Amino acid sequence: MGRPAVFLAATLFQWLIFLHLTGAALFVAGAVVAGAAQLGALGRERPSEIAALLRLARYGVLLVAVGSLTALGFGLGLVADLHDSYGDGWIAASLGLWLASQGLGGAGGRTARHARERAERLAAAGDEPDAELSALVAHRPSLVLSSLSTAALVAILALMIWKPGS
Amino acid sequence: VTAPFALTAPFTPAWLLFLHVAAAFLFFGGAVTVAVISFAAARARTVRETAVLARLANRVDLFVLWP
Repeated sequence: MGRPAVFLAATLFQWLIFLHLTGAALFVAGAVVAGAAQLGALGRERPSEIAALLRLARYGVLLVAVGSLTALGFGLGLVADLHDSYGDGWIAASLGLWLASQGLGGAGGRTARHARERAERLAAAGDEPDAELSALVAHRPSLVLSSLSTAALVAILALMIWKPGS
Repeated sequence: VTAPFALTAPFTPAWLLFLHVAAAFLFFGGAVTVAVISFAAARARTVRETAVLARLANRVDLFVLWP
Protein backbone atom coordinates (compact mmCIF):
# COMPACT_ATOMS: atom_id res chain seq x y z
CA MET A 1 0.00 0.00 0.00
CA GLY A 2 2.93 2.24 0.84
CA ARG A 3 4.69 1.99 -2.50
CA PRO A 4 1.72 2.95 -4.74
CA ALA A 5 0.99 5.89 -2.41
CA VAL A 6 4.59 7.11 -2.73
CA PHE A 7 4.48 6.57 -6.49
CA LEU A 8 1.24 8.53 -6.82
CA ALA A 9 2.56 11.35 -4.65
CA ALA A 10 5.72 11.58 -6.74
CA THR A 11 3.69 11.54 -9.94
CA LEU A 12 1.43 14.30 -8.67
CA PHE A 13 4.44 16.44 -7.76
CA GLN A 14 6.04 15.78 -11.14
CA TRP A 15 2.84 16.69 -12.95
CA LEU A 16 2.44 19.85 -10.89
CA ILE A 17 6.02 20.99 -11.51
CA PHE A 18 5.78 20.12 -15.23
CA LEU A 19 2.58 22.12 -15.69
CA HIS A 20 3.87 24.96 -13.48
CA LEU A 21 7.04 25.25 -15.60
CA THR A 22 5.07 24.95 -18.85
CA GLY A 23 2.81 27.79 -17.71
CA ALA A 24 5.84 29.88 -16.73
CA ALA A 25 7.46 29.22 -20.12
CA LEU A 26 4.27 30.32 -21.91
CA PHE A 27 4.15 33.42 -19.65
CA VAL A 28 7.71 34.34 -20.70
CA ALA A 29 6.97 33.49 -24.35
CA GLY A 30 4.02 35.89 -24.31
CA ALA A 31 6.23 38.61 -22.85
CA VAL A 32 8.82 37.99 -25.58
CA VAL A 33 6.17 38.13 -28.33
CA ALA A 34 4.70 41.38 -26.96
CA GLY A 35 8.17 42.87 -26.41
CA ALA A 36 9.33 41.97 -29.93
CA ALA A 37 6.16 43.53 -31.37
CA GLN A 38 6.61 46.76 -29.39
CA LEU A 39 10.33 47.05 -30.10
CA GLY A 40 9.80 46.15 -33.77
CA ALA A 41 7.30 48.98 -34.13
CA LEU A 42 9.78 51.54 -32.75
CA GLY A 43 11.21 53.69 -35.51
CA ARG A 44 8.56 52.64 -38.05
CA GLU A 45 6.55 55.45 -39.62
CA ARG A 46 4.08 53.82 -41.99
CA PRO A 47 0.83 53.07 -40.09
CA SER A 48 0.18 49.78 -41.94
CA GLU A 49 3.58 48.44 -40.83
CA ILE A 50 3.05 49.59 -37.24
CA ALA A 51 -0.41 48.00 -37.22
CA ALA A 52 0.96 44.70 -38.56
CA LEU A 53 3.63 44.63 -35.85
CA LEU A 54 1.38 45.66 -32.97
CA ARG A 55 -1.24 43.10 -33.97
CA LEU A 56 1.36 40.53 -32.91
CA ALA A 57 1.13 41.85 -29.35
CA ARG A 58 -2.41 40.43 -29.12
CA TYR A 59 -0.98 36.90 -29.46
CA GLY A 60 1.51 37.82 -26.75
CA VAL A 61 -1.25 38.97 -24.41
CA LEU A 62 -3.13 35.70 -25.01
CA LEU A 63 -0.01 33.66 -24.20
CA VAL A 64 0.65 35.77 -21.08
CA ALA A 65 -2.93 35.26 -19.88
CA VAL A 66 -2.86 31.47 -20.39
CA GLY A 67 0.70 31.06 -19.12
CA SER A 68 0.43 33.27 -16.06
CA LEU A 69 -2.80 31.65 -14.86
CA THR A 70 -1.41 28.15 -15.50
CA ALA A 71 1.80 28.96 -13.62
CA LEU A 72 -0.15 30.50 -10.75
CA GLY A 73 -2.67 27.67 -10.47
CA PHE A 74 -0.16 24.83 -10.53
CA GLY A 75 2.24 26.86 -8.37
CA LEU A 76 -0.44 27.10 -5.68
CA GLY A 77 -0.98 23.36 -6.15
CA LEU A 78 2.74 22.79 -5.53
CA VAL A 79 2.59 24.85 -2.32
CA ALA A 80 -0.24 22.64 -1.07
CA ASP A 81 1.44 19.42 -2.25
CA LEU A 82 4.72 20.31 -0.54
CA HIS A 83 2.90 21.48 2.62
CA ASP A 84 4.52 24.90 2.35
CA SER A 85 2.71 27.94 3.73
CA TYR A 86 1.23 30.59 1.48
CA GLY A 87 2.54 33.03 4.09
CA ASP A 88 6.21 32.06 3.57
CA GLY A 89 8.17 35.15 2.59
CA TRP A 90 9.33 33.95 -0.83
CA ILE A 91 5.88 32.60 -1.76
CA ALA A 92 4.08 35.77 -0.65
CA ALA A 93 6.68 37.88 -2.48
CA SER A 94 6.24 35.76 -5.63
CA LEU A 95 2.47 36.21 -5.52
CA GLY A 96 2.95 39.96 -5.05
CA LEU A 97 5.37 40.12 -7.97
CA TRP A 98 2.95 38.04 -10.11
CA LEU A 99 0.25 40.64 -9.43
CA ALA A 100 2.72 43.48 -10.09
CA SER A 101 3.81 41.97 -13.41
CA GLN A 102 0.18 41.66 -14.50
CA GLY A 103 -0.62 45.24 -13.50
CA LEU A 104 2.54 46.75 -14.97
CA GLY A 105 2.22 44.77 -18.21
CA GLY A 106 -1.43 45.74 -18.56
CA ALA A 107 -0.67 49.41 -17.95
CA GLY A 108 2.29 49.35 -20.33
CA GLY A 109 0.31 47.59 -23.04
CA ARG A 110 -2.58 50.05 -22.97
CA THR A 111 -0.67 52.64 -25.02
CA ALA A 112 0.35 49.97 -27.53
CA ARG A 113 -3.32 49.06 -27.93
CA HIS A 114 -4.21 52.73 -28.58
CA ALA A 115 -1.32 52.93 -31.06
CA ARG A 116 -2.53 49.81 -32.90
CA GLU A 117 -6.08 51.14 -33.15
CA ARG A 118 -4.84 54.49 -34.44
CA ALA A 119 -2.44 52.80 -36.87
CA GLU A 120 -5.25 50.67 -38.30
CA ARG A 121 -7.46 53.75 -38.79
CA LEU A 122 -4.60 55.65 -40.48
CA ALA A 123 -3.66 52.65 -42.64
CA ALA A 124 -7.21 52.55 -43.97
CA ALA A 125 -7.16 56.30 -44.65
CA GLY A 126 -4.11 56.77 -46.86
CA ASP A 127 -1.33 55.15 -44.80
CA GLU A 128 0.52 58.43 -44.26
CA PRO A 129 3.00 58.87 -41.36
CA ASP A 130 1.52 60.56 -38.29
CA ALA A 131 3.37 62.34 -35.48
CA GLU A 132 0.86 61.34 -32.82
CA LEU A 133 1.16 57.67 -33.82
CA SER A 134 4.96 57.85 -33.63
CA ALA A 135 4.66 59.42 -30.17
CA LEU A 136 2.33 56.63 -29.01
CA VAL A 137 4.68 53.91 -30.30
CA ALA A 138 7.69 55.52 -28.59
CA HIS A 139 5.79 56.43 -25.38
CA ARG A 140 8.60 56.11 -22.85
CA PRO A 141 6.52 55.59 -19.65
CA SER A 142 4.73 52.65 -21.29
CA LEU A 143 8.02 51.10 -22.36
CA VAL A 144 9.32 51.56 -18.80
CA LEU A 145 6.21 49.88 -17.35
CA SER A 146 6.60 46.93 -19.74
CA SER A 147 10.28 46.64 -18.79
CA LEU A 148 9.37 46.67 -15.09
CA SER A 149 6.85 43.90 -15.76
CA THR A 150 9.65 41.83 -17.31
CA ALA A 151 11.90 42.64 -14.34
CA ALA A 152 9.17 41.31 -12.02
CA LEU A 153 9.22 38.03 -13.98
CA VAL A 154 12.99 37.74 -13.53
CA ALA A 155 12.58 38.47 -9.80
CA ILE A 156 9.93 35.71 -9.53
CA LEU A 157 12.35 33.27 -11.16
CA ALA A 158 15.07 34.30 -8.71
CA LEU A 159 12.70 33.70 -5.78
CA MET A 160 11.80 30.26 -7.19
CA ILE A 161 15.48 29.29 -7.37
CA TRP A 162 16.83 30.72 -4.11
CA LYS A 163 13.67 30.52 -1.96
CA PRO A 164 15.06 33.05 0.54
CA GLY A 165 13.87 32.40 4.09
CA SER A 166 12.73 28.82 3.46
CA VAL B 1 18.27 25.96 -3.17
CA THR B 2 20.27 28.18 -0.84
CA ALA B 3 19.36 31.14 1.27
CA PRO B 4 19.99 33.98 1.35
CA PHE B 5 20.91 35.10 -2.20
CA ALA B 6 24.48 34.14 -2.98
CA LEU B 7 25.06 37.18 -5.16
CA THR B 8 28.83 37.14 -4.74
CA ALA B 9 29.29 33.57 -6.01
CA PRO B 10 28.29 33.51 -9.67
CA PHE B 11 29.14 29.84 -10.28
CA THR B 12 27.21 28.28 -7.41
CA PRO B 13 24.62 25.62 -8.36
CA ALA B 14 21.82 28.11 -7.64
CA TRP B 15 23.24 30.65 -10.07
CA LEU B 16 23.80 28.00 -12.72
CA LEU B 17 20.21 26.75 -12.28
CA PHE B 18 18.91 30.34 -12.48
CA LEU B 19 20.82 31.01 -15.70
CA HIS B 20 19.87 27.60 -17.15
CA VAL B 21 16.13 28.10 -16.50
CA ALA B 22 16.20 31.74 -17.64
CA ALA B 23 17.99 30.79 -20.86
CA ALA B 24 15.60 27.89 -21.47
CA PHE B 25 12.59 30.18 -21.01
CA LEU B 26 14.13 32.77 -23.32
CA PHE B 27 14.90 30.11 -25.94
CA PHE B 28 11.34 28.79 -25.77
CA GLY B 29 10.00 32.38 -25.88
CA GLY B 30 12.12 33.15 -28.93
CA ALA B 31 10.96 29.99 -30.71
CA VAL B 32 7.30 30.77 -29.98
CA THR B 33 7.83 34.37 -31.12
CA VAL B 34 9.37 33.31 -34.44
CA ALA B 35 6.47 30.88 -34.96
CA VAL B 36 3.86 33.57 -34.16
CA ILE B 37 5.53 36.14 -36.42
CA SER B 38 5.85 33.62 -39.26
CA PHE B 39 2.16 32.73 -38.85
CA ALA B 40 1.27 36.44 -38.98
CA ALA B 41 3.55 36.99 -41.99
CA ALA B 42 1.77 34.21 -43.88
CA ARG B 43 -1.55 35.96 -43.24
CA ALA B 44 -0.30 39.52 -43.92
CA ARG B 45 -2.47 41.76 -46.08
CA THR B 46 0.32 43.19 -48.25
CA VAL B 47 3.80 42.23 -49.43
CA ARG B 48 5.22 45.15 -47.44
CA GLU B 49 3.69 43.82 -44.21
CA THR B 50 5.05 40.36 -44.98
CA ALA B 51 8.52 41.84 -45.46
CA VAL B 52 8.34 43.80 -42.18
CA LEU B 53 7.22 40.73 -40.23
CA ALA B 54 9.79 38.45 -41.90
CA ARG B 55 12.53 40.96 -40.99
CA LEU B 56 11.37 40.94 -37.35
CA ALA B 57 11.35 37.12 -37.33
CA ASN B 58 14.93 37.14 -38.61
CA ARG B 59 16.00 39.57 -35.89
CA VAL B 60 14.38 37.52 -33.12
CA ASP B 61 16.04 34.42 -34.58
CA LEU B 62 19.42 36.17 -34.65
CA PHE B 63 19.34 38.05 -31.33
CA VAL B 64 17.16 35.83 -29.08
CA LEU B 65 17.02 32.29 -30.42
CA TRP B 66 20.62 31.68 -31.46
CA PRO B 67 22.39 33.23 -28.45
